[in-house]
Amino acid sequence: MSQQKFAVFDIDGTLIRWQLYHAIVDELAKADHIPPATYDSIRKQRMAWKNRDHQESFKEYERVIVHAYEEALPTLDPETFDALAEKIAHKYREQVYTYTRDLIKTLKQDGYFLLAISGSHKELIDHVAPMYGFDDWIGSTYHRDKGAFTGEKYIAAHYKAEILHDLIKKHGLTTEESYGVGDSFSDSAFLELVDRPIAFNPNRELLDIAMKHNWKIVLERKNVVYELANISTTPTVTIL
Amino acid sequence: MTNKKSPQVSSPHIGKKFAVFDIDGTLFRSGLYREVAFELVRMGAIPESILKKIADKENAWKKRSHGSAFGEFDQAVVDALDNELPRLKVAYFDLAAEKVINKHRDNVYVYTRDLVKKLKTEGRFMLAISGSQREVVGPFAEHYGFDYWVGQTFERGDEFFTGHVRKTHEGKGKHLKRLIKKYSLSMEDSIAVGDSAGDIEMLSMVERPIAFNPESNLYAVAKEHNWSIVIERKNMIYRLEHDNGEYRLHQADSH
Repeated sequence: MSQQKFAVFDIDGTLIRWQLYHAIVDELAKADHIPPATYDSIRKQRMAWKNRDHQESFKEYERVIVHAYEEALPTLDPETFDALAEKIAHKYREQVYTYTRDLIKTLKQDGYFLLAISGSHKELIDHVAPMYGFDDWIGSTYHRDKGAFTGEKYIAAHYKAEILHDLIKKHGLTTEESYGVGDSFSDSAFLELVDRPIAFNPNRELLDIAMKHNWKIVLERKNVVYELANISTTPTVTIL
Repeated sequence: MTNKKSPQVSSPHIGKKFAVFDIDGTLFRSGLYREVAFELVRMGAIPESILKKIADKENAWKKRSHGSAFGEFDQAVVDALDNELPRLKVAYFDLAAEKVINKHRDNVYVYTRDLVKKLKTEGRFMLAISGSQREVVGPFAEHYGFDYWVGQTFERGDEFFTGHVRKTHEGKGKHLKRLIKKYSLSMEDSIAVGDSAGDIEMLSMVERPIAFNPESNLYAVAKEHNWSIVIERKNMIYRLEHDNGEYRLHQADSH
């Protein structure tokens, strides 16, 4: 039997137009699970990023968000978290980029095995991946024991290459004509492993890697999609 | 030697180079018009039920159901607010406008923010022509150092608006022509920056038109006329320049 082809996608910022991890921390804060002082620092960093105060403002915002979540973890009830995760996923899961949504659909029809690897919580991705027809997916895991979070964690964003290797092995997939789509540096780990890597709306760090390797670069802004085969070529533009 | 008497002598800007900018979606990352409408709902100055009228369009846009979804959503907000005008107190509206400016004026694109700053420093006469209301366009434009700006007018009665609106989202070319004449500005090296179909008129008039994050209608026209296209996404700015009728990525900068 011939091996099945696959396509692997990042979720936050690649398929979904939002950062689900950020959204759930925000929701936790609104439900008083984040200390007010910490929430203040989140809001301050968010403003700095929104106003594009400096280059690192998005990364700093992310650091504050992750810190806030992990700080809240010991007192957080997993069932409360699950309910919030479902709420957030339902709110944002249809707010997607058309390029990736349509590519997922096409590849699904072409018989591709669809994988998602996300740095956001598995509890969030569980509510997103099935509705787009993903066959398997990995998100970050904060371990639980006896109705509480233990503090032990597995951050999927740090192991995207290892995860893809495992998934390829687990499902007996071939990398031949495989696709990968991601928007930031952590995705370059799995993009390097596929035949057809696509840097979608890349940040600087991913763009540098994409240019070096001559990967396809795709931008979606408003209702126009620009496909750059590599940095020096003519874009193919699709109007939505 | 005496100066020739001409009405233009009164303009201290005679022969100055200029740059003209759209605001919503070009400099401002959202729409001033929309923000004011939502602020009025939050304040309770217009009924929350108008949100229901636009909810379907907003949803269709958020889910990117079709290519015109944003335009339809945007228009729904405009219609909803216009309908409320005869029942809207001017004092509440002014308060909402002030709140929107204080809250959102720094939420801008880096490319256009820096371009405005640079052109201003070079001594250009800076114009902003917006379809949003004067009460928000004015303080916003002044914050960014524009010399003159145009925004739409809601006619005011004693306590409430009359419901008459002088729109400025269309006919931007006419406004620009008037301003060039009024200030005796030079067309040489003139620059215009816009993001949507309403900006095509003013972009067509200048020597250096820039389609910034263009929506599809503007993109099509920009392509036809070989205008520069600039896209800002995340911390990246991409400049596409035409080259024998084709666009090529000219430069990618981070910020």
